[in-house]
Amino acid sequence: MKSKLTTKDLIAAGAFAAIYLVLLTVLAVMVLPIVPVLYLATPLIAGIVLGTVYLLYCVKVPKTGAIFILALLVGAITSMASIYPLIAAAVWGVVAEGIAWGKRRRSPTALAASYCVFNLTSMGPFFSLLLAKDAFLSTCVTYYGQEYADTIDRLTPDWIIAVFIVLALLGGILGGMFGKKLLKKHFAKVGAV
Amino acid sequence: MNRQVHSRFHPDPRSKLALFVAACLCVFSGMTRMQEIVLLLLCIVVLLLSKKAGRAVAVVLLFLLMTLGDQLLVSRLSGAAQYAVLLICHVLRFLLPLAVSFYLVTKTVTVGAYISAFTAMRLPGVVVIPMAVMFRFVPTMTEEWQAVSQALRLRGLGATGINSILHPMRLLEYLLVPFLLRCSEVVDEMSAAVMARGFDKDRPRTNYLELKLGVLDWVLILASLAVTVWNLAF
Repeated sequence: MKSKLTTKDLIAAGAFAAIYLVLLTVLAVMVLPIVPVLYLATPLIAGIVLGTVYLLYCVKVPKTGAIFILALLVGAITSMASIYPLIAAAVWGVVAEGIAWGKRRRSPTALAASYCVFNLTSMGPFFSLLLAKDAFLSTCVTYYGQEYADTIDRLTPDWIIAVFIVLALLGGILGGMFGKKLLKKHFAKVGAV
Repeated sequence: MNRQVHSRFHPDPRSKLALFVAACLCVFSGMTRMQEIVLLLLCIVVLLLSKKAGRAVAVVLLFLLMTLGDQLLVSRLSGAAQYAVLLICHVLRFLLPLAVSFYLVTKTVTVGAYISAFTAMRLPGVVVIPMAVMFRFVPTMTEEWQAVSQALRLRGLGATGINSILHPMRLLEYLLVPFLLRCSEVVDEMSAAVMARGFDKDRPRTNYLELKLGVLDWVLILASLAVTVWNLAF
């Protein structure tokens, strides 16, 4: 696809980034921390919910670069505590962009596959858990108290990052499939895409 | 923009953004009691400067109530009740500066002001437009979401406990599809409006609203910076 991003596409990018981020934040900050186990499953649950948003965005803005912009915006907002999530998000953005390159941008299956990778961005906050676990846990103590931090500590041995990646990928697959179904069932019918 | 706004001091969007970034950095890295109060005070000053005195009073009251609850109630309760109070009084209190600064950047600044602020920072259009739209879109989103969930509740399909446990995927579908359809409609309308006003990512644009960083703006920016450094370094 040769055509460059127009102003209109940039507006859609901003709006969908807002939708994506607000839903992600609501899920990750308001709903899930109530139970520590659910908090750690954020990549899975967020993936399922946000797949539809991602697919609709991609179908609405079928241009090279659109996915990358969304990844950067998501990364910029999720990297409040450290810079790593932004770098990671940029990498996932490029990979997701590569999966849905050129003609494949039109195929919902390719988009669902690229979402699978893109969903790894929702893992962003957990990078701090990997790289600076002690600092993260002391933050948890100030927020939720010692008990919660202990639970998180117990639930996250060093190999947990592999579990996160698997969860994120799984969430990506489920979200992609769910989104594809909704896209076909609803959005294509009313001509929104 | 009416003339009254210009006659008195009105904080620049850039100083509000600086405060927002400071609040994000501080809140997510944990704060001491003192830092929390200073940050919240800064937020309240900006609220007052933006002529939102009612909000400022509400925030102060909320903060006092939460602190009282945290100090007096948590140690006396136990089990689930203690956890609930802890969550409300402790966790939400920590998020208060973030919520206030988020309110400031999303509700008290117009898109035009953002565009001219970002342009004044010499950011390219590819960055300016999505960022400005992102901040502008949050209140719209909240409205749309409320409309959809209200309609669902009216039909007995709302996001209640029973529904979310028995039919989580159905609930998700019923919530997401109309919500996204409405949002994508708004996006189309918004881009039409923006095009009509002559925005283009490659071309400079004049703006009715001339923004200048005043002394108070610099004070606010420096104060935000100071709080951030204080928080991250100590």
